[in-house]
Amino acid sequence: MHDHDFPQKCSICGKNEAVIFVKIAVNGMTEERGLCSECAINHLEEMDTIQGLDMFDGKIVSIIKDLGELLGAIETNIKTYTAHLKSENENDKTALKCPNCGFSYDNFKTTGYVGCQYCYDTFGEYIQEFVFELERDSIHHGKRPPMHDKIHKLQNQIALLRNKLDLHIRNEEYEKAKQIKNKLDSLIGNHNETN
Amino acid sequence: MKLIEFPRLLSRRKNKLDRFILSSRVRIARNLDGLKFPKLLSNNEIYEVDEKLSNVILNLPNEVAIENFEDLPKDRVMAYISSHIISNKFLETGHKLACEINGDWVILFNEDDHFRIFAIEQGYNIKNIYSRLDKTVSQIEKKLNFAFDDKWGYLTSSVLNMGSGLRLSVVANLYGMMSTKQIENFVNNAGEMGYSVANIANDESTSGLFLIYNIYSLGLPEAEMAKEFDLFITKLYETEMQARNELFAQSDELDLCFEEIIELSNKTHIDWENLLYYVSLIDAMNTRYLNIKNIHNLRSLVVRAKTDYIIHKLSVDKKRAPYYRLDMLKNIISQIKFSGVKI
Repeated sequence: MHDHDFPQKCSICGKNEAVIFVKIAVNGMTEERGLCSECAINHLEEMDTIQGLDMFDGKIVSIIKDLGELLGAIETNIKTYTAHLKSENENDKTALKCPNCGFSYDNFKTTGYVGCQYCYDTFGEYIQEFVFELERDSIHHGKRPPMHDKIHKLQNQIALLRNKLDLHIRNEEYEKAKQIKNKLDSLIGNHNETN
Repeated sequence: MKLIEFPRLLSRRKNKLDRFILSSRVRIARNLDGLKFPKLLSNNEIYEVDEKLSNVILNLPNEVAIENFEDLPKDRVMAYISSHIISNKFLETGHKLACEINGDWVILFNEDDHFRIFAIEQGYNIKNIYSRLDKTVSQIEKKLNFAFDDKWGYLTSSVLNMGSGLRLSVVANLYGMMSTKQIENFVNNAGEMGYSVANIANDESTSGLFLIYNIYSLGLPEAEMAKEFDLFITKLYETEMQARNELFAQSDELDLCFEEIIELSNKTHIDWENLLYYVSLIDAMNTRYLNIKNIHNLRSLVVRAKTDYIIHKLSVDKKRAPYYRLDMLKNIISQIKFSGVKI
């Protein structure tokens, strides 16, 4: 086995990915060459050019041939499966409709409009794709309705206290940790349970 | 009810951006929680939304008037369209608008969204307009729940408006950049920064009047959006002034500009798109090469010289409109004081 961090190109054609690695003796030195399955088969079948290979026999040619066929078959299968998934995904998208208002994915895709607030859940994945292209933060940072604002602030406060609690526990400052825990309990409504 | 006309002229301290910004507009969009958006509402449901919104808006501390478009004569509807208060699109689903009687804001019911509040003022005043609208929206929000999602923010019928529902826009005079052929590059760069730039006449127009607005409303707090917009417009101002300096520093170019204005006296009529070219030219030369008594008279021609406005608001016959339009422009030119010009 050879450890390669990234795909190596075939030393002969320079196009395909190398799948077979062989050692070639050149002027008393051995060099490692990576070959794609096609070039390896062609190369090994030409008797003139195989003198330098240090581990060649008929079995290897046969294994390489099998391996080439196997890789070819895997590649074909992957392509077929990807195409199948893609078409399934396209069909799923096309059939997608908002359960609340009946607005279709096609309609959304064509117009950039949605029919109701629940469409944002239905088409959330595709809205996310669109938002990704904005190249800025893809979540809302602006104003919030008063109730959401309170919840949002509470969530932030809880997250902050949890971080502090972890820090105090790591530093073995148990008295401080207890105070923070009490604050947290009162914020998330555990106060009565603990008392 | 008195017809509200935009852009509104406010007496305030001038800022340097007024030199090239003809008008500023701010709009905030919201939808009522739990209801389908207007395009999918039945007529009855639209009336219910109208009713719900009217009840809250009429109880605001401001003095508010409601205009019902089903009862309006066509001339008045067309006057609203030509003044940019409503669009033809609004009439597809909307029946009502509410306006603060001094023109502080207008609210359209059931256009693309259940509720769209906006105001347009002359010159550059984005931050102040936003503060005013935000205050009103917050008052309304105390009485009504708007569709909101923690991740996407306020939910709107167009996904471009989700988040803050905020659109900031200006009409800017980019005559210098247009004449020095810097516009195409600017339009592309602005697009990459999330701003749309379009000539208000048409894509082929040589007029320097452009509508500029933020395309997306998500990802930044409202105040940040306004600040970014400010920076963008300030940078644009510097580029435009530099382009004007370079352009008018060439004496043959400057002479040509004066000749173009003077040759208008030989014309008898003009269409709106061509008029915009002269508005942008004269506006760009103002204060340095000529002086107009009241620049807003010139700039207001962008709205007042529109065919629909001339016909429906000024009651001029359609055939006479191109002649009437040129007369409006000539009247303003007759008051210009030319400085250092050899005619």
